[in-house]
Amino acid sequence: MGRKARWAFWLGAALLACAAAQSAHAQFSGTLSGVTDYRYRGVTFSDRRPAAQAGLTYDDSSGLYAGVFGSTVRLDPPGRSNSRFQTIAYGGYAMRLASGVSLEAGGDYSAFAGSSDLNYAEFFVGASTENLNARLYLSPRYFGTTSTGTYGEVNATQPLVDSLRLHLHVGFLRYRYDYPPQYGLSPTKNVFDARIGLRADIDRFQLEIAWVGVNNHSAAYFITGRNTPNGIVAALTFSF
Amino acid sequence: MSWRRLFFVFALSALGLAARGETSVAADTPPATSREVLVMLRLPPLHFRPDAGYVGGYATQAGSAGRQRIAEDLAARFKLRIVDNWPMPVLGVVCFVMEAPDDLPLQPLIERMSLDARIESVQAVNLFRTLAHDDPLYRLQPTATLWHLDELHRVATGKNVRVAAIDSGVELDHPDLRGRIALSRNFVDGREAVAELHGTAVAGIIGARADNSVGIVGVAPDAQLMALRACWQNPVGEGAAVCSSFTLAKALQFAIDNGAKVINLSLGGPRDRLVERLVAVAVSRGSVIVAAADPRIAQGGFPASLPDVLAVAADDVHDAPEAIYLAPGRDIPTTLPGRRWGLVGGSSYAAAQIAGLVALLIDLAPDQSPQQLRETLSTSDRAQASTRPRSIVDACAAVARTVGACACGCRFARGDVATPVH
Repeated sequence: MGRKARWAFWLGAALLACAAAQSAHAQFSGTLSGVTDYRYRGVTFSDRRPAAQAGLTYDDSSGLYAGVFGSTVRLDPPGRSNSRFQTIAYGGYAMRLASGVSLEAGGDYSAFAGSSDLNYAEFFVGASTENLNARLYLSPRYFGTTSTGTYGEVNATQPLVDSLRLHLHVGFLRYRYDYPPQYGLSPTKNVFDARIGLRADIDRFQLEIAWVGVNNHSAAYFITGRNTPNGIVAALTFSF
Repeated sequence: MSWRRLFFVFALSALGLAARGETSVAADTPPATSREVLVMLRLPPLHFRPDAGYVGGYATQAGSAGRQRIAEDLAARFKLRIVDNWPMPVLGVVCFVMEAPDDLPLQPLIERMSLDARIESVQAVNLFRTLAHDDPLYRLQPTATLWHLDELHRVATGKNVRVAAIDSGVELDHPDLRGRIALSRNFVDGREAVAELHGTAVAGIIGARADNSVGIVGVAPDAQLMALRACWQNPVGEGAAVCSSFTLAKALQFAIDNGAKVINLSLGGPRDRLVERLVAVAVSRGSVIVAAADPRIAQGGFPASLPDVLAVAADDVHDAPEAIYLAPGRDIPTTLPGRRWGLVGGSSYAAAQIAGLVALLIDLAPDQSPQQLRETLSTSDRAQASTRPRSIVDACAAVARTVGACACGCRFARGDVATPVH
């Protein structure tokens, strides 16, 4: 499985590019990013080290969309193989109401190179406006656990001056993972995460600096093999 | 210094640059004639994408780079230059302004572009003009008849009703307007505050401060005024202003997004598909559009002729179609740039008064539909119906009809009537 996630990413990207080229009505877009610390729902997935990321999205004129995202990771789940690459394949349908609110429903699948035990699928529904969005995700086997994971998030953006924006994210995750007794960790149930940051859009580059916090620092120990302290992160993204 | 520290230093510096606006592009004031076309590309609904982080919004969504790339391909293919762009999510499009070279005929170009499947729609940039008298001496003529504002204001002042004046720039610190403009935006160029005659006069008529011992009283002195600069003062012809399809569309999009209940368009020009689509969206969301009618054109010209728009002309216009409402349009005292006051006249200012009156009616009955408002504004005095054109608006009667009680000395206490003029 070591290279399968990488192959899945590049195969997905190639398919998306072909699909976009076939349809003049469609649009595809992508990003290349460097981040000082890859935080996934508040938890460091890169051991607080830099990570490289890329994403490609295809938007069909019908409202259907699909995409693939890849990131380097440093996951050392206890008792399982390490993973150094994550791929997320996603797709769904979005529609804009007369009121201007966009509604969507879709699904995504996360695959981890070298540690397929962590692979999981989830489904989501969401609503978005220009400066506010909310989504609810449901996963039958969250990161390979036997527990159903439910994650809700609300994101708000406030333009400050010109190309500078303030953004705020709050998320709530509910699932259960019973650590083996030797770790001495209590079962994970409810986890809150938050992120507040500034983002500047400069031509095709986006620069973000943010504070990220999570209320349970050992919540994802069974995924990452380490605790997550709160901290400052930065990201530089090129969009194309 | 570690690489991480260097990165953060760089990040903070870049954020500072962005905050100072050094990366923003401030377009110059558009010329009086246009070689530009508006190219609309589809704007997909907002949706999940893990590479976009937690920041949403159309202006910053990662897909905007993809649309920019398509626009650049189109510009190269049709030999155009990209001037500007603006997301218009209420229409599901992003609008690119592209300039054609002088030797390229616009109409054949638009026809060729419309065949490109990547383009949602394409049109020329039309120019609109404010509908006011240009003659400086016109402002010295005798004062026109005004409505009984002091009596109307005992029952309504337009409190908390959002009125968008899409016009030229407004003098925000005019003594009669200071603190009255809840929100102002410039959709023409990058300047912060531009004081121009037409916009300042229209804003004063709609919502100048009352009981401040200076100047005039606006028709709706407690309305929340949104001063949206989409027109620029024409250096030739005092007070006249010019607007373009693109600047109007940006202002309309903003007014819709920000919940304007009344949108005043004291301007007219050729029929314009983009503006027409935005007006339709605004009406569908419950906004009342008031537009100045050009009496020289059948049905008042565009956008006054649109079916859901309240078309208003000055009451000294003869033989106006019944669909056009008439309001005082001569010698109206109002605010002028330079902290002055003066007299103005024309359909522009007649429309501004109706916009203010509509704000009063919405203040009295917030749930009225645009159609109900239209009926309310119809002449409501049967006794006078035989002696005056039916479309002359009687503010007292409209207020009386809305509240179903006394207004202006109970002259129209019953508030009965009237056949809608549309």
